[in-house]
Amino acid sequence: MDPFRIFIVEDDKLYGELLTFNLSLNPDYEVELFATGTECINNLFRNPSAISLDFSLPDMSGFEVIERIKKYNSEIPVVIVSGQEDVSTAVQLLKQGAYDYIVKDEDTKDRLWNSMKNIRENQKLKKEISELKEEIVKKYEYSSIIKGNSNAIMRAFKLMEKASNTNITVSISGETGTGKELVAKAIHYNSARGKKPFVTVNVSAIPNDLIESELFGHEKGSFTGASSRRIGKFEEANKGTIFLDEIAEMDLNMQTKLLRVLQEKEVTRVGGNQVIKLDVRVIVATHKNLSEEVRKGKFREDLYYRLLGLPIELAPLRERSYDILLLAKYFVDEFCKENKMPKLILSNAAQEKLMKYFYPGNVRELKAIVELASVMANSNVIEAEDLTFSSTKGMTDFLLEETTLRSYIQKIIKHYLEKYDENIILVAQKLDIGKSTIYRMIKNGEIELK
Amino acid sequence: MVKLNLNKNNIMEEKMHYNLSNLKNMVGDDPDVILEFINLFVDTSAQTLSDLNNAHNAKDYPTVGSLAHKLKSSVDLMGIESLYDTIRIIERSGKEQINIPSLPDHFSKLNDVLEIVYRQMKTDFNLK
Repeated sequence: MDPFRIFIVEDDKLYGELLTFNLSLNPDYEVELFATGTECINNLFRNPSAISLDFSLPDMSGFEVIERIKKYNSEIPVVIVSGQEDVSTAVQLLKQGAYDYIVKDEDTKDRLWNSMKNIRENQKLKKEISELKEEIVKKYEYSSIIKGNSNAIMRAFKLMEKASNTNITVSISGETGTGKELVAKAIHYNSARGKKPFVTVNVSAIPNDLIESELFGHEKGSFTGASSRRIGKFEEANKGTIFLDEIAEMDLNMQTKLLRVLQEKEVTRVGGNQVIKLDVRVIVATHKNLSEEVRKGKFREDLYYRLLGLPIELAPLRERSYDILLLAKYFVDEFCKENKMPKLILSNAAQEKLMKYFYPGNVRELKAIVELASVMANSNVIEAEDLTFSSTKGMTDFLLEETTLRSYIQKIIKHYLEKYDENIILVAQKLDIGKSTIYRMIKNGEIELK
Repeated sequence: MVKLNLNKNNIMEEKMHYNLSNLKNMVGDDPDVILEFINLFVDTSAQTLSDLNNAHNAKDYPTVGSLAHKLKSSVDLMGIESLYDTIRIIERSGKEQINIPSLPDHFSKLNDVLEIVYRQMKTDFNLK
């Protein structure tokens, strides 16, 4: 760790030496004494961690010194140690940004030690926070949060990058478990707002009558139970990003209020009068088809267009089967690492079994399946029988809808084409049909390629 | 007490005019360190006192105020109790230019007491 360097600025030689000696008793402190304000200013390039400043100096006043220090680097804490006992001077110095004001008397030592200790702890915490922020940004680099080489994922990556470079509203759609929140976080942490707050609100998890105060905050006593003032999520996210998950679940009345906030870029707490200006990037997500919700009258059309912004669609896992094995291997490796287990591999039969499943719960489900299999495996190989699939939902859904055999065939071929990135030869092989059958259906317009 | 008949100056002479508890609180009990700071006090405060007398003679009251302000913390540090009020009165008189006619009395007390303090310190610490 860097030494904690303290500058003491004191023209009274006796007192200066005294403070220097006293603070030097702490072996972690590196203390230097300056007799004038100018000397201190000229040495600021050596980045002191804190400055103890006498208010009355021969060459300039304490106000001037503090102003010049703050101009050089407003982060350097300045503690005034002075014989001055005038309250208004002290108040003015504190307003100007002094960290503390200590009068020279029998308590000076304890107060100065305390002040330095607090400054040091504060700086340590600040450093820790900034390191953690860096770590988060690293954690959310696109390639480390979303794995995959399929065309669908590559398309999503490109859109995410475009979203990060601007402030445009982003709407993410995708089935449950496709990673909508991860995408929102990746956009935020890779954007210029990355070090500001990222605030998530799951609209479907908050009762209708509470959502307004949750989003916009409330003043004390604005309704029964509002026992203190509360900052809303929008205010909390100021300068950063708010992520409204499951936006389709918001009721129409609240949609109107949200639209107003987005249009005016300002918010008023429930029961309050003060208008708070907002600078918030908005990302919304839903597993529903929002335009369909608009058609059904469940979602306001004007809000839909305001939120649409840059749409990012996350393909379900069954449509990006090229990624299934890559993801499965990644999750197995991560799981072994986290649990300090020896490395596991997937047998060929297990790989085949994974490829055939349709994953209604998407990546989240795949992760759960392979983690369970890692636990169940009896050797360093995960076998097919270690894999347990619990969901059968997709298949019954498919059969529930009564239709012609021709239409079933059409659906099946379409599904396989999406799954294998429209590789017609591969799909023909998988379904054991002639590739000309597929070409004919495309030509007839029964199947459309993307 | 046997010194009942002594005049005011002599009483001042007899009692200890300084108290090192504040200094020890700051720097600890090491006799070498204490000695170093006593030396420093004698040197710096004597210089300040001489500047202060000059400013007073020249009727430069703002300087009187700021030099008294500087000396104040040394007086407090060395526990020179009999000057606690005096040095503050001089500081305020100089800064605000009030009670100027009473300044000579305060100055003579300041000079007298510091002279005794220096003498006592020289004896107590074998200063040259």
